Amino acid sequence: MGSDIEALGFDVRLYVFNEAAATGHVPQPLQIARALRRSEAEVRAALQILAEGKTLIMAPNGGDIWAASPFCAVPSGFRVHAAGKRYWGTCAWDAMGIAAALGSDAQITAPCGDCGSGMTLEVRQGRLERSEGIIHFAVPAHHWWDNIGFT
Amino acid sequence: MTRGALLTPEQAWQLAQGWYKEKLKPEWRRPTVEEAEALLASIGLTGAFWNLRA
Repeated sequence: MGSDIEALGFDVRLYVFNEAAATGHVPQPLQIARALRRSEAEVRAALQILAEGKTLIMAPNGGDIWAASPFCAVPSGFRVHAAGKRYWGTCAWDAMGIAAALGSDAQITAPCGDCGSGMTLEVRQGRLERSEGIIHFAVPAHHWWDNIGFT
Repeated sequence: MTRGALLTPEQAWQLAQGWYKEKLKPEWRRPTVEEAEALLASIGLTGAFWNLRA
């Protein structure tokens, strides 16, 4: 059972990330189970292993995926437009990470952490062609996973 | 909010590429601490704030 779930984790990972990349929406356990023809309980067990390995992040107090980093499952202020689709990142780093993972040109808008106004970044042909402002990391690296949502 | 650390957008882009460029590939695996440290150092992110070891 354990090794089967670990093997399922590979399929779940590929499905979740490819679906997020293809559609802009991070699939949740029921959709994953239907797509892979497995039970929802098995998929949730596989997701738990993936979360323990920090491959993705589950929502606090719930069984849904919060982020298949860099793809955020819920709307955020860090928006990415790429390949004709809209994505959300959990932070500026992840928003840029979506462009990197897709290998696509992208326009990224992010709220300024100081004044709240929008900042725009553009990636073209693998280069950051337009940018403004600075990126702030509040939490030291070795504490990022103490509370990854806050980080 | 604490001061934390500041990155230029170009540094953040380099970090994003190094961290996520392979994430969709079947052979992807999470970077080791040593690999992550090397990535951070390659874009000038060194010092206590960027130390990955508790």
